[in-house]
Amino acid sequence: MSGVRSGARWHLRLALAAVLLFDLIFLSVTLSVDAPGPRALAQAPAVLRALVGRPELVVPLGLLGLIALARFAARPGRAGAGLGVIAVIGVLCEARAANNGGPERFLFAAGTVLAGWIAGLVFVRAAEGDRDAEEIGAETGAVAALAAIYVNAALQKLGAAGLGWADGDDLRMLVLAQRPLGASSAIADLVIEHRWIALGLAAFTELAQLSALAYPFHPRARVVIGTMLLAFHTGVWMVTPILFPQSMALLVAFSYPWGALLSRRGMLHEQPGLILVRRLDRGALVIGAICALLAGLALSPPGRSTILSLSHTDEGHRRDAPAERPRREPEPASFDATAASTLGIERLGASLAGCTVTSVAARGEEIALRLACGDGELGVEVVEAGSRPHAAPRSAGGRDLFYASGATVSPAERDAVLAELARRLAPP
Amino acid sequence: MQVKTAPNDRRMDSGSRGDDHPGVSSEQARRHSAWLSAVVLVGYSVVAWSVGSFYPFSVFPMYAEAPETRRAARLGARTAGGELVEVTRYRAFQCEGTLDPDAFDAACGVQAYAPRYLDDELSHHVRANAATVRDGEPIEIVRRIWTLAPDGSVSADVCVLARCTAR
Repeated sequence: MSGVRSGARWHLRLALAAVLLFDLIFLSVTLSVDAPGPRALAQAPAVLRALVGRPELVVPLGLLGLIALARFAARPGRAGAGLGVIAVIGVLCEARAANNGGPERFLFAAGTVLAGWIAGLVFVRAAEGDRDAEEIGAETGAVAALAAIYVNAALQKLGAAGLGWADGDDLRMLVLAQRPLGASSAIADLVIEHRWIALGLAAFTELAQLSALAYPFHPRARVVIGTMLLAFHTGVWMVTPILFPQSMALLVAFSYPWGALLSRRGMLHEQPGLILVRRLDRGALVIGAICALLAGLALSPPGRSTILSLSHTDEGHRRDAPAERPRREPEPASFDATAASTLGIERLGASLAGCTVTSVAARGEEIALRLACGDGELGVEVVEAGSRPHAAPRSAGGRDLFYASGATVSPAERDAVLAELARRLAPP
Repeated sequence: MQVKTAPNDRRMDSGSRGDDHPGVSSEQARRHSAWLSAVVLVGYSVVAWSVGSFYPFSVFPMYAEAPETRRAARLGARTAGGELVEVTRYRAFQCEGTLDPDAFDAACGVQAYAPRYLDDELSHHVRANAATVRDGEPIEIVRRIWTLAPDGSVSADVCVLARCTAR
């Protein structure tokens, strides 16, 4: 046996886990407070869109991810826990993509590196059966996956625009279109005013990303290539608001010989940074119990229908699917003349954006409206602007419009109703 | 994939230095490391090019497409004093006219490159904060358009999309 110990890559495992933790928290928080976005994908799976603005679903999922992450970080060789992390972050990430109209790829870097880590670990385990060497293979896989990000980005540019991508004008237009109005940046001004500078930076970008092909194969060149890629990210950040902090953190962790530094300080095998993570790992059962409790509460909140029955106010986020439509007891029709007048509705049965008004009720300052749209039903709540924690899909006349429980209409019908109500509420 | 290894130098060296593993940097270990690197790099890329984008796989195509025009644009607000600012500076808008990103090129009479997500988000900010605005300031929602000339010079123009009172 050589002197390699299983903990010899703990610093890389912890660095990767820290970036994944950032992603997990970012996704859990943003998904919990997000409202349906203007670019939400109507064709996205209902299970993903159902997570938007639903902390009772997102938080337990995030806690599951936290448990998996703690288990992955605490000990080497835990491929299963790593896959669990990918699964949880993947669901959250795809849910955000469904709501935002497309993937946010700055969130992909850590998952990509983790996938490489797991692949390397499993490869060595299968090939050698030597658990001590697994993390060395894991690092190798992670480094290759990190390189794959940039190699593929370079190939995309070459495939789409060839070497013409580096003509400088594309970069200048990117800077102009991305830079916030009123923002001042001497470097951005230089890039815009001098095409040759833009050309140089674009060529450097292509060179740095293509150089990533050598990143996994030449450890000594890795320092240089990693520094070039960091310079590329820094340069982009200096001339646009585009920042990839996760990628930069991973480049810092995997490009430089931190193992040598830790070894010189006698810390490589002491693993002091693992103490907290291992405590978290030991507390996984407690966290799991809390998670299960929260999930149980979410699934059966007292006095309310269950989440599975889609009876929350934002269930309209879900994709229409007859099999998933909730069975609702019909509510008695009501007609509040004052509230109806506010919305320009003369009577029950009146037409509104192709739907028929079936109920107008006042609940304090709020107005609850129900409409029949073909075979579907739509509830709309008109509330005082800013009175709810979520951003409203429509706002007008100092009021926010939300679509409410029982929505079994198409997104187009729903949006048409909200648009018509907003038009009626808007000041003349 | 089964990899044959020698007892004394079977561990792969991924390049980290400072580990106490003498004998690891053998040629065979380097070959194993290179094999694994190639498998992961190619494997990830093949999956990514197959699925396009599905966490954690992506080909990372951001900003790869070359715009078909030499014009760039950004949505913003022009104050009464002529200053161009972000629309997000304001929290409430009462506007004449609507903002439809699909119609920006036609409204301004020129095709210009602008990241679609930015046009969508900034337009949505204006639409979602429509309200009766009292004590607001008059502004114009505009599209700032820059034209890149063949000689490298850049000229700027402004296209008015809506007139609003905002605060």
